[in-house]
Formats: sequence, structure tokens, C-alpha cells
Amino acid sequence: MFRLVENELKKTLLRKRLWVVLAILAILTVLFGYGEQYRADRMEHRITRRLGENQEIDQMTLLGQQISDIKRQLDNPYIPEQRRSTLAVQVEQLEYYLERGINPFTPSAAGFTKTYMENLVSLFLPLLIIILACDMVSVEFTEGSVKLLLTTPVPRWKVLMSKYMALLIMTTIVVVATGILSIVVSTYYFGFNGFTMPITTGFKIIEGSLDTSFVQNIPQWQYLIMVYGLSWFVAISIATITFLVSVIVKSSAVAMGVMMSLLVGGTFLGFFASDWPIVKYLFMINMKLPDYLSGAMQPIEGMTLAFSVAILAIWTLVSFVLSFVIFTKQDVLV
Amino acid sequence: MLRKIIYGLMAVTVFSTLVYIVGFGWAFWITYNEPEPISQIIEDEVDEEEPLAEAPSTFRVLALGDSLAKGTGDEMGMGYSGYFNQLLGEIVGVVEYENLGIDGMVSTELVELVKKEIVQTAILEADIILLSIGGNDMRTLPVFQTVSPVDFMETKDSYLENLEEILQIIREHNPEAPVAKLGLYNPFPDFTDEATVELLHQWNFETLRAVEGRNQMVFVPTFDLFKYNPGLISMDMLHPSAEGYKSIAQRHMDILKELIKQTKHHSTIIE
Repeated sequence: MFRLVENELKKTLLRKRLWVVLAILAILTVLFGYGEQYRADRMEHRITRRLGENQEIDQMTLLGQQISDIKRQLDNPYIPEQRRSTLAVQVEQLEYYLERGINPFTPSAAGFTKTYMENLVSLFLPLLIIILACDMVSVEFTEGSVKLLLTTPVPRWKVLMSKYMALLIMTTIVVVATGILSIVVSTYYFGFNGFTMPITTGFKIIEGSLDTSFVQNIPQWQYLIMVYGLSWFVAISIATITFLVSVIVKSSAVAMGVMMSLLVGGTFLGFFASDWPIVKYLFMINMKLPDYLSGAMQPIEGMTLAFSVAILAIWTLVSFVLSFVIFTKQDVLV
Repeated sequence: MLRKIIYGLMAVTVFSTLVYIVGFGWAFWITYNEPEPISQIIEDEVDEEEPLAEAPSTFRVLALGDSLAKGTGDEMGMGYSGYFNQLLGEIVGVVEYENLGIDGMVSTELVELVKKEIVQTAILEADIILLSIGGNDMRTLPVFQTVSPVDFMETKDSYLENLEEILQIIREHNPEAPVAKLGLYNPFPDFTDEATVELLHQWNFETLRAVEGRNQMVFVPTFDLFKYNPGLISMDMLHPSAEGYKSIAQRHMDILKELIKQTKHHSTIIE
């Protein structure tokens, strides 16, 4: 099996698809990094224009005042429970900024890496994965090499398995590359910082609305690993579903078209049909996993992290099994 | 050579897969783990029979509502209630005040707050009530883009319902104390289009109607104050600065001065 996987990887690397995907990723990351820096500069200019040159010192004063202010509030007996925990984590964050003398709005390498993946995971990352995955099987049919592949003594399922393993490896590499590229690019623009910054998480969805009673701060590096772990899971899921489509349609172009339409269609459905409960069982709707962590999730009723992960897992498993069943049973006429 | 690359890639894959699995597990742990809540609910422990300090000649001010009531953004930490109390002190002498402003408070939360016995006691004992609410309700709308009229109406109507309830409860517990409701201003003139500002005016107008229809209640506008005065906005680009709060306080005093003199007059007669 190992040799087969190795062989598949060799084929892919030589086919250059992986390199194209990585190049697109690199260019996009640089563009995003530049855009973020541009935005931060403009913000800086706007603040200076409004408030004058000594805004640096004033900002620290403002932070200090905000902190003592919140501490006073925590002593206030009238505050509801949910707000109390939000306040406590806010103090932690503000004290972090104050101790280091940094403006909370300045971008950092870690902050950029986090936001970048949070934005990519639902559409752009899947797009890249689809480009890679769509021709794992189809290319053999379009190039006619499927005949050669299936006439060796290797059983069909092993052939397919080696392709699937190679696909998983490449998917993981793409996710890793996203992380590395964004850290490298953002370090160039903003400096290698922000990894210990406290990030608020621990949001729960209780009866369809956001509950902040249990929020806590965790360091950004840990948060990053969590975001990337979830995004990797989404990527694997997309890769497997695309794999199935590729096995069925036997054409890279059709596979790519089908998957991309599903993705984009899913985004629209999420916007316009959010009252329709059936929609939450579609895989495209459940891809924004990092949003559950950041409390930004606007779920359809009944959606939680566990739910979305379960839906994706079911789609992945079914796609996996179906692709093997179809490939091993189908008649190949070339 | 190619083989080396492949082995390298496989190694990276294995390592990062492990890292991702760890991250995945953490994500679940943080979402579903339930640590001790940050604090106990203190208010149940407070003796509800205990009245606030007795001082019949003292003027009592109660500030209720969101971050504006609290004074967020003021470098001095005073807020408009603080500066108002100063101005008030010049007229009535000793001023006692209770500030229940809370950052981010929305109208539904304020309704809950004024239903608490402790807060109702504070309302009962107040001689003037300063109210600021609604800004955060409005901020749930996408004001940097186009707001759909349906969303706006829903948000506005729900806020107005809450406002009516709040004003009703205040009057139930305190039939006469003047109530001043702060109007909304536009902190983002560069980022909002005409249509959105129009909605803001509508919001303020309907708030004004709700407030002015009631006995001894007044609407204090702020939109005009901030329109051409960016210096009145704090460094956080949202709340007023000290100067902004001072202007708001002065406006309150200008509007309420006569009412205050009558109230003071009233309470000295009782003594």
C-alpha cells in the first residue's frame, strides 16, 4: 500500500496541480496581508486626524480607565450573570494590551493568521481542495490510463485507497501551507507577534441563542491550533465528497463544476433560506466551524458545533463508502 | 530526489494531522466543558428591606441604561451623569447618585433590570432619572451597508415596546420624578449613507413621541451636537469624549433646570 500511495503522490507532484494551488494560495495571502496593512494604516491616519499627535499616550490612559471602570462594574451587584463573565474576560484582555503598551486594533501575525483562516474555510479553501481532488480519479479516465491501472494484479479497492490516501495527504499539506504562508506573510507586514494575546471563546449556543456565561480567554496560539484543526476537518470532508463525485462523473471538469455549484449554492441558501430547517442537513451550510468558537455563528435553529461536525462526518463517511462501492463494482468501458 | 520530497511531505502530514486532531479536540472541549461560573449571583444576598441612605434634603439622581449612561469613553470617567451631577450640585446642594449604566445593554435587558426589586427601590427614591438606551439595539443592524426596511422596523418596534414598558414601570414606582431620555447621534458619519441616517432620525423621532407623551418626561437630542463636532467623540470612535459628555450634561441642565427648581421647591415644602 505504501508504494501505491507513494506512486500516486509522485503522479500528482509531477502533474503540477498541487504547485498551482500553492501558488494561488501564496499570491492571495500576500494580497490579503497587504490589504490588511493598508486598512490599518488608513485607520491610523483617521484617528490621528481626529485626535492629534499624542493619541498614543491617550490610548494607554483610555485603556487604564476602561480597566478600572470594568473592575468597578464587577463590584456592582446589579449586573446579570452573562454580562459578568463577559466583563471578566474583557479585563484580562485589556490588561494584556496595557502591559505591552499596544493598541488593541493593530494587526498582528497571529491575529491575521486566525482571521485569514476563519474567512477562507467556508469558500476559498474548499475551492482549492476541489481543484486538487476533482481529478484524482477522473484523470485516469480522461487520459485513458484507467485501463492500465485496473489490469494490474492489485485489487481495485487498493487502487482507489491509494488515491484517497494521497488526496488526504495533499489536503493536509494545503491546510499546513495556508498556516505557514499566512504566518510568514503577516510576520513580514506586522512582525512576529500576537501569539500570547488572550482570545475570548467558550461561547455556547443554548436554545438557539448565544450564551456567554462560560466565556474564558485562551492564548491566541492555542486558539489558532483549534481553528486550524476544525478547518482541516472541513477540508477533509470536502475532499472526500469531491472524491466521490469524481468517481461518479469520471470527468474533472464536471466534478469541479458540480462541487463549486454546490458550494456557492449553499452560501446563498444559508442567506436566503435560513428559516427552512431542512437546509441545516446540507454539508455546505455546516462549514463555518471556527465561527462557533468566536461566537460569530448565526446558526439555523438546532445547529451547534457538535451538530455541524456530525453532519460533515456523516457526509464524509457516506461519500467514502459510496466511492469505494461504485468504483469496485462499476463496469469500466474504455 | 522526488522520493525525498515525498517522504518529507508525508512526515509533515503526519505531524500536522496530529496537531490538528489536538486542535479539534480542544475546540470541542472549550465549547462543551462547563467551568465554574465566574461569580455567584450577589443580588440575592443583598438585604432587600434595607432602604437607601435617608437624607430628605438630598437630591438623588439615578442613571439607567447603556454605556452612555455609564460614561464609557470619558477620559475622566465621569460620563454625562457625572457632569450633570456637578451642575446640579450648584443649584440644589448635596447630590447623591446611583449609576446603573452597563456597557452594551439593550432594551430587553433594561426591561429585565427595572423589574428587579432593588432597582425599583432606587427608582422610587430618585428625584431625577437619566435614561440612555437603544443605541445597542440599533447596532444590531448592518449600519455600514444598506439596512433592510423590514429588519429596521422589527428592531425599532421591539425597542419601542421595551421603551414603553420601561417608562411605564418607572412611572409606576415614581409618579413625578423628571425622566430625561437621551437621543442617538451618528458616530460614523463617514461610513453611513443618507438612507441609514434617515432611519436614525426616524428612530429618534419615534422615541421622542413615546417619551414626550408622558408626564414630566423629556427627550434630549444629541444628533445635532455631534454632527459637525468630531472632537466630541472619544478615541474609541464610538462614545462621546469628556468634552462630548460635558456638552450632553449641559444640554440636560438647560432642559431640566426649571423642573429641577420646582422639584427642589416641592421637597423642601414637604419638610
